[in-house]
Amino acid sequence: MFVVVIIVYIALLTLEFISLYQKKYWKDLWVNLTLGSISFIIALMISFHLYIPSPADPIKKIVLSLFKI
Amino acid sequence: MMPKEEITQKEAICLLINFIMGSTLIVGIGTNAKNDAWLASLFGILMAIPAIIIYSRILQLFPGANLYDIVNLLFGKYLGSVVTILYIWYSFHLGALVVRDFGEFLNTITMPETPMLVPMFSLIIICIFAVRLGIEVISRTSAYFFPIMLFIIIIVQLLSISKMDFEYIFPILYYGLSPIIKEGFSAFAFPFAETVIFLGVLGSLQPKKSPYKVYFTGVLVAGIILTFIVLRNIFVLGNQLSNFYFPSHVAISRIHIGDFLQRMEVTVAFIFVVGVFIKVSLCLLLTCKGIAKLFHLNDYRSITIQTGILMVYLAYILYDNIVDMHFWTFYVYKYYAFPFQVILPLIIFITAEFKKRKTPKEYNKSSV
Repeated sequence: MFVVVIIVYIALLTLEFISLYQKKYWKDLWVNLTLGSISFIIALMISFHLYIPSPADPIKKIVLSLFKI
Repeated sequence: MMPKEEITQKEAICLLINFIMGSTLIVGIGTNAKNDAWLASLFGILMAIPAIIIYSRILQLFPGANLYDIVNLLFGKYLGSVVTILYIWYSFHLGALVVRDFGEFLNTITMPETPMLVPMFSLIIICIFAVRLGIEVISRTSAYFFPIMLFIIIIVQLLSISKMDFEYIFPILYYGLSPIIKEGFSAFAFPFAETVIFLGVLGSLQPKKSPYKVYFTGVLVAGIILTFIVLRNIFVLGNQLSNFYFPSHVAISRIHIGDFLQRMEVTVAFIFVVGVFIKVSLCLLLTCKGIAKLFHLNDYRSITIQTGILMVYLAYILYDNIVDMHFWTFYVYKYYAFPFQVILPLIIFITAEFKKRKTPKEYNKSSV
């Protein structure tokens, strides 16, 4: 499964990066690279069935403690 | 620089209606008020009116500017960035919630064996395309689909008359006013005040068109359609309404006319897909514009793919199961969304009015 993830990400990144590189938009390139690496890490974690903490739980806890539903 | 994108008033109204009806049509509003859900829906519209007056006033003060321009102009560099980050998170999270609704719906109703990531990715690919093409394309799509949606809703409404039992609406106010107020607040937070997203979209409205008209027409028409749908669900399902995760789907699946008119629930799925597409596209658009504004990028289009994929991952890890999702949507979301929907717009509104009075000349120059 993770092989598919790696291939898809390489394809996506080259697709996006070449045009940004040719236009010399360095800032766009860096932001894109950061977002891409975050999503790549999450994709790998999902493909290895690792547990990723959900942001919904802390919000739920805070709201429940504040309003006592 | 590309020429500024413009949307007409009619397109903006259709966009707003589609946005509100998006995931609400299928998840339903005010279901916990049982057979008073329609009153809760009306109460939600009533509560939404002050909020949309504030949103329209903010837009009217800054013609042609979107949410992030306004925030940066009002609060300066640092505080403006903080508010920008908050709204990026809100629109990103809202998009993820809607994607999850979609995935959960397809997973529960039609494709239980398919992994949930598959429908989610199918949806987000179209949304990424739409966002890269720009707001004009999204709004024209919504203007094109809106009459079809309205036609389907009316036809289904008429067909389900045979299954309706008008007694189900009684007794009115059996549980008192408190569930209606609670559910009205829920209805306010879930579809109507989510239109705060349009602060970032209606900056592209044609000049000299009033945002008041767009907001009022859109919210009222969508609210009336939703109230009729809630009434239909009550007439068909009675006070069992709150037992279902997708009441509209269950209500319509009961239509059997003769031997040939049945399985009408696909029509609901069609409307739902169109609505969800519009909603997710707008959330994704606003997130990308926010990130582009925050880092001073040349164009928001280059980051749409990565942001869209991240949105799907967030939607995927958000909840463990549908019960969790239902609880979050109906009990937690209204409190969580309140700062973004009411408090921050109120602060923006007060600051804008104050600054406008103080330095009218300089201010008008910078806002044009």
